Amino acid sequence: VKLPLEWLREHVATDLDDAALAERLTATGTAVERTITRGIPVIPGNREAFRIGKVLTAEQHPDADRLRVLSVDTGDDAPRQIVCGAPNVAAGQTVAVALPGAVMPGGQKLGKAKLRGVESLGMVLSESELEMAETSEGILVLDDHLAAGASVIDVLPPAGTILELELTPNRGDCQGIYGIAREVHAITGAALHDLDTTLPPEDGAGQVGDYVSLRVDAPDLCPRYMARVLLDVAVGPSPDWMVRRLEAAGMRSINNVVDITNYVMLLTAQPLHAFDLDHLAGPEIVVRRAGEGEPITTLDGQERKLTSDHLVIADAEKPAVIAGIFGAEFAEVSEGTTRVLLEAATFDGPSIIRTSLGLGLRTESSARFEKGQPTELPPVAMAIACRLMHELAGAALVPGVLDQRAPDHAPAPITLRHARVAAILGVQVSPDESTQILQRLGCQVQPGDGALVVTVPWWRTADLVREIDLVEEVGRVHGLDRIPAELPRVEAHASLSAQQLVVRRLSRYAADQGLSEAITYRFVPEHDADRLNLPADDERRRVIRISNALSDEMAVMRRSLVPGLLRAVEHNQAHQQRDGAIFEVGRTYIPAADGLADEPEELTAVLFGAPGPRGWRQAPAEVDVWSATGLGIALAASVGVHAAAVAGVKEPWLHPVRQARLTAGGIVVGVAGEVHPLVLKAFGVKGPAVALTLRIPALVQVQPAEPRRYVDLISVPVSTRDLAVLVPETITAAHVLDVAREAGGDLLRGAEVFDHYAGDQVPDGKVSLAVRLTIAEPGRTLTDDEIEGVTERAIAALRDQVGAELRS
Amino acid sequence: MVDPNVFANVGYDPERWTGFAFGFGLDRIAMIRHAISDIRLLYEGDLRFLGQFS
Repeated sequence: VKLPLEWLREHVATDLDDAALAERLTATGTAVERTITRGIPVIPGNREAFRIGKVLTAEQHPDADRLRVLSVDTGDDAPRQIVCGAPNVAAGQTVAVALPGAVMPGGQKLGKAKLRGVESLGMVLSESELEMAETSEGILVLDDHLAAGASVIDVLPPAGTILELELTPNRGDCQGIYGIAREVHAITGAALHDLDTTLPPEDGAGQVGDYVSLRVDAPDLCPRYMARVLLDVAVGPSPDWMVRRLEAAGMRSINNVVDITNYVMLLTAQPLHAFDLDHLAGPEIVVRRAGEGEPITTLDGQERKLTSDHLVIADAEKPAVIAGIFGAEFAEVSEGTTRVLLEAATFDGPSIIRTSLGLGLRTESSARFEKGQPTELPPVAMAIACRLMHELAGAALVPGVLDQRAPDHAPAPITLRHARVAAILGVQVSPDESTQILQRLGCQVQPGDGALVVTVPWWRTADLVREIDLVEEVGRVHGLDRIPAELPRVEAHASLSAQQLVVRRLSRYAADQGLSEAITYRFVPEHDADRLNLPADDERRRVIRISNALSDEMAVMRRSLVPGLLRAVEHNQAHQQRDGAIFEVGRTYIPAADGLADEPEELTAVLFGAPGPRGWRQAPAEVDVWSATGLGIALAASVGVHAAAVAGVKEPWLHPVRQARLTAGGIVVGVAGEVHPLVLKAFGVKGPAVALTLRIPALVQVQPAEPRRYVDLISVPVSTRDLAVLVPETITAAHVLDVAREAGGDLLRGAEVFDHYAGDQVPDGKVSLAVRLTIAEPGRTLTDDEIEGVTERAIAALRDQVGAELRS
Repeated sequence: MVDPNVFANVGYDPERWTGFAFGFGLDRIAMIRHAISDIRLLYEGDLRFLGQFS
C-alpha cells in the first residue's frame, strides 16, 4: 500500500523524520519497499533552483524535429536558453523551471546540458518529472499572474513523502492509514489521535426504513451489512486537499461522493459503496447469491456472467454490485444523483478471493475484503463517510440505519507467560515492558500468575489468537535488533557419505583433467526427450511436471544432464568457443509410485572439438568414442572402480556404433560415446562431440568395501603363457577374458588381450586375439603341471563357451 | 522462528521444542565472493566464465 506521510501524521504525532520512521517500520515488520518524494524536495538550494519562468520565444531546434529552443525569463538579468521537448510548450506561457543545481524528487542533481548541439541552462518541468503524476502529456502550464523568478516551491502543493509498504498477509488492519497510525503508535509510543466518528446532524426527512428495505439471504458470506440514506446530495468535484491525498495514495479523483468512499477506505481499510437510490428497484437491497449465469454489466462496461458461488448486492430485480468487488453501471452515483444509499459491509474473505480469482477482477476494495474485515469496522467508516458527505456534498443524513449483523463471539483472553516470552525470544523482556507494548497495540492487559492475561482489540482478533502470536508482537516491538547475536552451540557429528565422497572425488578429478564444471537448470523443456531421439515408448519419457511452469522451456524436471550440457555447448560454440570440455554432477528426477521422485545423481561430461592445451609441439586431437570411454574409465578408477568399456549398447542419443557401456563388478556404471548426428542437429551443436555419463549410485555400489591386501608375488616366480585364439567377431574381448579368468581359478593372477588381428589367414567373421595369462601362487613355486593345468582349463572353457579355436 | 503448529503437526511438543528456519542462496554468496555481476552467468556453462575459476 502507498502511505502518504502527511496524511499519517494527521493521526499520529510522531517526531521521527520520514527516513527514521521508514526505518522503524521496516525494523518492526512493516517493510518499506520504496520511498517516493512527490513534488520539489524541500532542501537548501531548491528554493532558488526552482523558479517561475516566462517563455519569451520558442524556436524550432535546428537539428531535431521534436525539440524547441526557448528563451525564458527566470528573473535573472538576461533571459535563459532552454531546450524543451514538450509538445505543448509555446511562447507566452508561465512555466516551472529547474535551474542547474536543482535536486529533483528522485534525488538527481540537474546539470547544464547540451541537446543536439544546443546548450540548455535548465529544464521546463512536467508533473511527472516532479512525481506529482504517473504520466503527463507535457509541461506544467501555470497561472499567468505569477512573477518570473519567484520560487516554484511556494506555488505548487507542498512536497510529500510516500512510503510504499509491503504488508505481511496477517496485517489486514494496516490496509488503512489509521491502522498504520496505530502501528506507529505501538512501535514509537507517539500519541495516537482518536478517529472522529461523530455523525453529522440527522436532518434528512423521515426514517431510513421509509426509503429502502434490507434483506440478507446469505449471512454466511456477509457477516454484517449496514446502509444509510443521504438526501440533497450535490455531486461535484472534490476539494484539492482530498484530490491530492487520493492521488498520493495511488487513486484518481472521480467526484466528491465516489471520492469520499475511496478516501474513507484508504483511511480505515473499510471499503464502502455508494448507490444512486433512485436507480434501485424496490427500493430494496438484497444480499444474496447470484443465479447461475445471471448477468451483470460492471462499471468497465463489460457484461459478466455470475454463478451461484458469487455473492451480489441486488435491488428487487437484479445485481447492483458483485459484493465487495465491483459495481454495476446502472446503480452508480453520477452527476444527476441526489439521493444516495451508502453501504458499509463485511464479507467472507475466502469467498471474496474465490470470486475475485474466478472473474479475474481484483480491486482496491476486494484486496481489503480478502483479508476478512472485522464486523466492528463498518460503523466507524460509515460515520466518517456520512460526515464528509455532509461537509463536502451538502448531504442531509436520514435518521436510522439498516444493520444486519451475525452474532459475534467475543474472543477469549490469551495467557502470556513471562517465561515463555524469555524462552522463545532468548532475551528478558520485563513484564512491565510486555504490558506497555501490548497496551500500545490496543490490548487490555491484566496481571496473572507469572503471566499476563491479554484481551486483543477487535482490529487484531484475526491474527492475534495464540500465546505465540503475542510473543511475536512483544519481540518485534521490543526490537529484534536488541536480541543479542549468539552463535548456537552445535553438537554434531557428521561425515560425508560414501556417495558424497564419490561425487567430490569425481568432480575434483574431472576438474584436474581440465574439464570445466557447469551447473545447468533442473527444469527443462519436455521436448528434450524428442531431441535426445528417445523412442516413443522409452521409459525415460516419464517426467515430473512443474505446476504453474514459468514457460515451456522450464516445464519438467530433467531425466538426464545431457540436454543441459548440449545447450551449454551450443552457447559456447555460438560465442566462438570451438573446443571445450564441460561436466556436471547433479540429480535427475524419475517419477516414483508414491508421487514423489527418485533422484539418482549422475556425472555427465560433454567434450567437443579438440579440447586441451594447444602448444607449439602438438595440437590436441579431436574427440571420438575413445576419448569418452577413456575419460569414463579414468574417472571410475579415481574412485577405486575398475571399469571396462563394452560395446553393444544402443543409447538413442549416441552414435549407433561409436558408443560403449562402462561395466564394473557385473553392473553398468556408465555409458559413453559420440553424440548422435541427429541429436547434435536438434541441439544446434557442431560435431565432433562426445558424451559420457556415469551413474553415481552404481559406482558407489561396486566400490571395493575392504582395503586391498598385499599379495606376495615378488618372492616367487611368476609364469606367463601367451595364447592366440580365433573367436567369432561378435564376441567381445572383455567376455573372452571373463571366461578365461573364471576357468583359470585362483592360480590365474591376470589375463589381458595384447593383440588383435583380422584379415589374411583369419576366416571371415572371426578375429584373432592374443591373450596373455599370468600364473602364480604366493608363498610357493608352482609345478609345470599346475601351470599347464591352468592354461588347459582356460583353453577348454574358451572352446566350449565362446567357440574359440587355438591357433597354432 | 518455527510456528509451534509445525512442531505439533509432526509430533513434537512445542512447549519443549523451538526452532529457527532460515536459508540463503549459495549462488548469491558466490556472486559477492567472486564479484559476479549477473546471476545467469552461473547457469550458462560459458567456458569463458567457467575457465576463470579453474
